[in-house]
Amino acid sequence: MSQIAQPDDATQLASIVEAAARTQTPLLTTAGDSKWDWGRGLADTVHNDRSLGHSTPTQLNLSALSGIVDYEPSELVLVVGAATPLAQIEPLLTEQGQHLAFEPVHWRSTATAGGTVAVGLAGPRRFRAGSVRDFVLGLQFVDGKGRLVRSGGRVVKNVSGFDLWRGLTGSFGSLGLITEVCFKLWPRPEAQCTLLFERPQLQAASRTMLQLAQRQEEISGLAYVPTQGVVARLEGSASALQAQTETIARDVAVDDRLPHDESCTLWRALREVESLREKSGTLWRFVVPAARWVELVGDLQAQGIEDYHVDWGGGQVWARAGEDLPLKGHEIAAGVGGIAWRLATNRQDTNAEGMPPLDPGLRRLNMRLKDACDPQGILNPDAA
Amino acid sequence: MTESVDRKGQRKALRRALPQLAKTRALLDADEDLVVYECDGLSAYRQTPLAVALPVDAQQVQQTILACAELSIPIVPWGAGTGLSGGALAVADGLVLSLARMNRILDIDYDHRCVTVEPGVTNLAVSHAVSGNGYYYAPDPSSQIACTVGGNVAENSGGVHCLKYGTTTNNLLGLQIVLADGEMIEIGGAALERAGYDLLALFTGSEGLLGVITQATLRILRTPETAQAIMATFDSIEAAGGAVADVIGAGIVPAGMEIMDRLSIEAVEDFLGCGYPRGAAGLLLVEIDGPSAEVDLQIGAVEACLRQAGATDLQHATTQEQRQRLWAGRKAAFPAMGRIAPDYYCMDGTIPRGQLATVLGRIEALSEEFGLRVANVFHAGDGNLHPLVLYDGNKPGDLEKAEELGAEILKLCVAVGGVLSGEHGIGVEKRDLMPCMFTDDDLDLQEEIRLAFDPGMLLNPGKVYPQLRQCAEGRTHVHGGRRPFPDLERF
Repeated sequence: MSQIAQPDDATQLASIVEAAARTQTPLLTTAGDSKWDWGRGLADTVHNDRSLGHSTPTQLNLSALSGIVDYEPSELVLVVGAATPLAQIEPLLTEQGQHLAFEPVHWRSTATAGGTVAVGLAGPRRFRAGSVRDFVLGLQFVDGKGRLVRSGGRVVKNVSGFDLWRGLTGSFGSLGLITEVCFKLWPRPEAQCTLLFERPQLQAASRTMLQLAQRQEEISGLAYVPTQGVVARLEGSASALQAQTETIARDVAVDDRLPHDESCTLWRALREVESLREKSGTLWRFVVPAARWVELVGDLQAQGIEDYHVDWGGGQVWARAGEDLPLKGHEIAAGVGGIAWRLATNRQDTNAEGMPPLDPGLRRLNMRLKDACDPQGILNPDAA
Repeated sequence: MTESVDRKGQRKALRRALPQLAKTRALLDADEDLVVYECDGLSAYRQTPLAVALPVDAQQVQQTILACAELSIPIVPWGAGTGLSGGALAVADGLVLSLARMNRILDIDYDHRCVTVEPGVTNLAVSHAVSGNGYYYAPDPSSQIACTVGGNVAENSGGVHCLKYGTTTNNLLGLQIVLADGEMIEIGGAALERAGYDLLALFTGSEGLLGVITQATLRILRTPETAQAIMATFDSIEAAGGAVADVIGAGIVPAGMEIMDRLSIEAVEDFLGCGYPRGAAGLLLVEIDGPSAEVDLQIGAVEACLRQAGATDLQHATTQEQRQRLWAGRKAAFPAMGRIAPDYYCMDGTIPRGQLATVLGRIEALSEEFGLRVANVFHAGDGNLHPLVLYDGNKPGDLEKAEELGAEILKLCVAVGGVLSGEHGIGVEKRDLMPCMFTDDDLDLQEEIRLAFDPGMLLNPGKVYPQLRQCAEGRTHVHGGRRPFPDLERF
């Protein structure tokens, strides 16, 4: 039986980690538990070879580290406790006409700010606006020795010291346990619409996407949905959207135009990978050079995979493999110069192939960073 | 053994270890060849290196690093030497590793909107290479005509468009790096995400302490369809600062927002006569770019905000020529200081935008206290403040006074919730102020990471991290005959 602890605040968390480092007790953290299927198998990728297999892990519930610490709309800055639910943050920002521009992926309704940063998964706008780490200005976290550390700040331009705040983003709680996050905010566009381009042929779809991606309009989402075609989201002032649409239509025939509400629904569904997650099977995520997604999809189709969609202007592909199909996802990704993630299918799934593999040199470097931040290897070693 | 015999021996050993560089005049160790490497853009600190290596490719960088590791010769990576924090300052017994000869653009990939370059390519050359196709590289530090991409990555350079377009770290897709043990590592490329930890983030802005950059893949952007600018005059800095908050509050992210104070305006007018409002307490430049329908709407909204905030005069630039004229003054702000003072010392703190009036008020008080004038230019969009401390280097004690005043200003930035450096880096200049911003635990972790990458501290020793961990109370650390960097020779 593993122990369960729920620290009241960051200081208490720090002393728990310090004690765990002394006894080499692995710590497994959750707050909203919305992405339990992500990041497993990390141990196989970056952890050192020190075996912690014999110690009983402590489960740390961090949900007390919650709350809005500071919100200054005119500074475009939000500071929150790591366990603050996105469901609390997003309405607050909407009220002020602002948002997290990387479009956090919720996955489940309990998603938190800290989890969002720890997983580092951005939505469709990543293709234009940047990833989670591009909107993190600073972090407070507890390192593997139990030190409560700050890195970064509350300002956009900051070159004071190593950039650990971005370095920790996407590290799945294995370099430090995030206790507080400072986000850079962005004004929420007043309106959006989506242009649809029917493209039954994949090559034609790819060409259209590359062509659209190189345009000057504010295309903030660019995806290919096999049942629909190429979809491009335009954002901005309600009155300027029409002008942007017309400029595009002069060069590329537009087959349909989804107004604001329908557009919102479409991109929310794409962000949450709804249609693929509803079905059973194994979900894979591929990130590839944007011009090569057709090759990737061809390779997947050769394996019998037909359920997929393409996001980020071609740079990200989500695909669902049937339950009885062992997919060599990492090999397929590498074949087109990309990387892949596999999602755990259930809580017993150890998901050894969960994370993209690292070549030996990079793996050594990752391990050196891990060792520096967590010398005892106790932070989320993924003992599952 | 005397020092000079030792130097001679080390130079000889380097020549022996790097015959290929030595015979192609890519290893300089004659005193007259080393003069240009004795300081970077922070010219108050000077140090002649032991030697300078000018490798032409990554393999030569590897050989150089391995030779230095073997001989225990510290390495200072060098781009164009334009940095303003002494980040490329040589060490006496060390090698300056100049990447200047690695200056080829290797690949331009419009499908993936990225350019792969060697580290010695200048910042502006990247934009020039792609401008014909309607693209540009967004980070635009003021030294962009000379500064190199390698240096930009090492310092995480910014420019005037950072609120909307980010700094170097937000515009970088991949790196090739040689580590202190000679191993070459490739991170990232045309794909948007990378496997493992975000080492790209960690290397960017690490000031040459973690590795030597031998290649970088940069994200390029489409040139916006149009851009318009407005210059607004205010009779108080508070009002100008308030206008910035109003513009952002209206849901607008300008491509650039710059505030200049009275002294900067005067200096620029003396220098250029570009039509800036003499006598005004503050001037705010706002530039909007994007699709023309959007820009038309937003510029109207900006104008309304500025009037509402009390602008006494507005000048609207719609053509490229008018816009460049408005910007000309701002861009000449630093050289213009030469007209009103023999020397200036450029500071680089970042503050929350809302603290502008408070900080400028405090700077004014400090300026009186120290008896030195301070002109202020402010990247108002991203909160990056560049106070220019005016002094006379020929007056004994003036430089020291300017440095003390500068340090006080940076501490003030930290005290109001800002940071020590927005874009110039810590280097040697601000390293002893690091404890004002970070706790011992914060700094310990950072230094442990540094040691994990470079256990022998071969790369750029003496930079970023303080030798003595104490945030000096008041100004005691520079009084009593002690200078802030007693180990460095100064001019």
